[in-house]
Amino acid sequence: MKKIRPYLYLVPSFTVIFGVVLVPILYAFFISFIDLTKNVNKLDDPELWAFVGFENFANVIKSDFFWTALGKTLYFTAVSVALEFVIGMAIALILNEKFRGRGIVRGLMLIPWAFPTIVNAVLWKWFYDSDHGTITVLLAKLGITDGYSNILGSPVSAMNGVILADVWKNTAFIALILLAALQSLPQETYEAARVDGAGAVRRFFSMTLPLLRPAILVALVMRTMEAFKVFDIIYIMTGGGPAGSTQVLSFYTYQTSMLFGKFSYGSSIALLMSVFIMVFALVYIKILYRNVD
Amino acid sequence: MKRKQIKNILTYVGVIGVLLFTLTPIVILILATFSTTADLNARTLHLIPNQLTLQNYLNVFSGKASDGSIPPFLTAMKNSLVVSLSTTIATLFVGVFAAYAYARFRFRGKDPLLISVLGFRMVPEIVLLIPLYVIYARAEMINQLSTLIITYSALNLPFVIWMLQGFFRSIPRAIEESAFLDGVTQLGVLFRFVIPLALPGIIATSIFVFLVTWDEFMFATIFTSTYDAKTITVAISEFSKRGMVDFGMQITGGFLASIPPILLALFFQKYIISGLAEGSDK
Repeated sequence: MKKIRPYLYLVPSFTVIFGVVLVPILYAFFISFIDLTKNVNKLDDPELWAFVGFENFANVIKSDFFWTALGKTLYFTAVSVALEFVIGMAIALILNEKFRGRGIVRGLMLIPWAFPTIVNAVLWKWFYDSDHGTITVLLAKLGITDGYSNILGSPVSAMNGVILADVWKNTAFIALILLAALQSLPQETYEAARVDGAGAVRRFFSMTLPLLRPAILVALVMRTMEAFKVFDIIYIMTGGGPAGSTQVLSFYTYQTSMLFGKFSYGSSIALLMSVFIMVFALVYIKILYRNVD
Repeated sequence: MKRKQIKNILTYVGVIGVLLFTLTPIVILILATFSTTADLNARTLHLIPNQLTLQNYLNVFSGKASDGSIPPFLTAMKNSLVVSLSTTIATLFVGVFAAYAYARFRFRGKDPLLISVLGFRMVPEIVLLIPLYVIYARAEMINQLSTLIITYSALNLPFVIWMLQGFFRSIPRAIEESAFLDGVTQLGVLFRFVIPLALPGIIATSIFVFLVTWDEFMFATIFTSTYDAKTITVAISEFSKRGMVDFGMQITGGFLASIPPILLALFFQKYIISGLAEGSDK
């Protein structure tokens, strides 16, 4: 009994994970090696499977759309995570100071974090509306744009508009993690540094940043992986447009498979995309697993 | 003294900046839900409504503005509640055992199995979308809330196991050992001692699972096509597809849909903040 008890405890979880995650992953490979379209009944007849080998993968790699989408995804990821980190760090540092109502202000940071992604997308799409969006009108009134502009309708500004919406929601997550880490820093070391005459800026770069390293790494890698998979906000705000200017990999996969019905081709895009995620994941696992023991 | 005053002023300026950044979009949203269609469709800025109205709320709840082309709001809210609650309970119940095994038992293959849990947590959802759709479509599992619940449970389990084993590890072993000496069974120890002691962590983990499930959109939109099965995120996305027709209804529906997760987060903020701290150094 003692020998098998651990396995008994693991069986329910692993059954569910295997059935809904592992089997589909293997199935995704299978689908990528045949030629499957929306007509899934084709799978009933093995004669119709017709293994095409790596043809789907080769076609994806040869396609300009894939590389453009990868570029857009990397741009979205880099810019949004960088902004979220800088603003999140600033917020964490401010909320770590002593002031009246600190508890309430910290609690309010949870609002954007808990705000549903879809609703956030709907809200910002409305802010950008070309006829009466709050931001559109404001930009025109301040003379920044010449009259009302169509922010999400222009290939130049659409992606940055989406990024801003994403930044508003997800900055809170980074701020909360960094704030929690800041509060666990040893106060005495800071006092000593202050007595030694280290200025605020120097204390930040030579003490706070190095001490926060683990929390910063976790927050950045987690956000990077999430941002790389961005889907919901694109689906609502731009649908990949205009002119493909916000066509990220997740949305490209969805469009190819679910809208155009090319299941095998879509599956190959998704698998190639995971290669990139795997790099982030390995970094993340290394950080997390090192901290266990 | 003067230095300190300057620092205080700077802090308050910073705090005001943080509040403006965090709250402005929410305040504009709330004001807009009470605005008339005329105000919302004006080509100028009407942040403060000329006239307050509950019409948007009435439209959302009665579904009157719906010509049948968008899902009924209350059904979608109920679906999301059922799916999120069931997923949270199922994941926690199953995950507790696995987490305890990792935290306390020694067994062959423990390390590779634990790393595989972390690995499964990283699988991009989009890879699963097509194969799961094919499987569910052929098994006639589309349009069922239970399909969503199983899918979400599997996706959340690695996270839950990882978080819980961390919380279990931080409980001193001595408590369990003395309970064993008193003749309490293994299951008894888990349910009567370990789980109550790890309750703050369990609550934090549950809230995370609930919020993530409430927020999920991609699978929900592909795996449901009937109004009886659509969750609130899918419903809101369809509200917005109606384009300019009814902004009031879109944002009012969206605002109402965000109330449950926000209230939950504010109510359990103590647990969430310590959970986030825990998650970032474990």
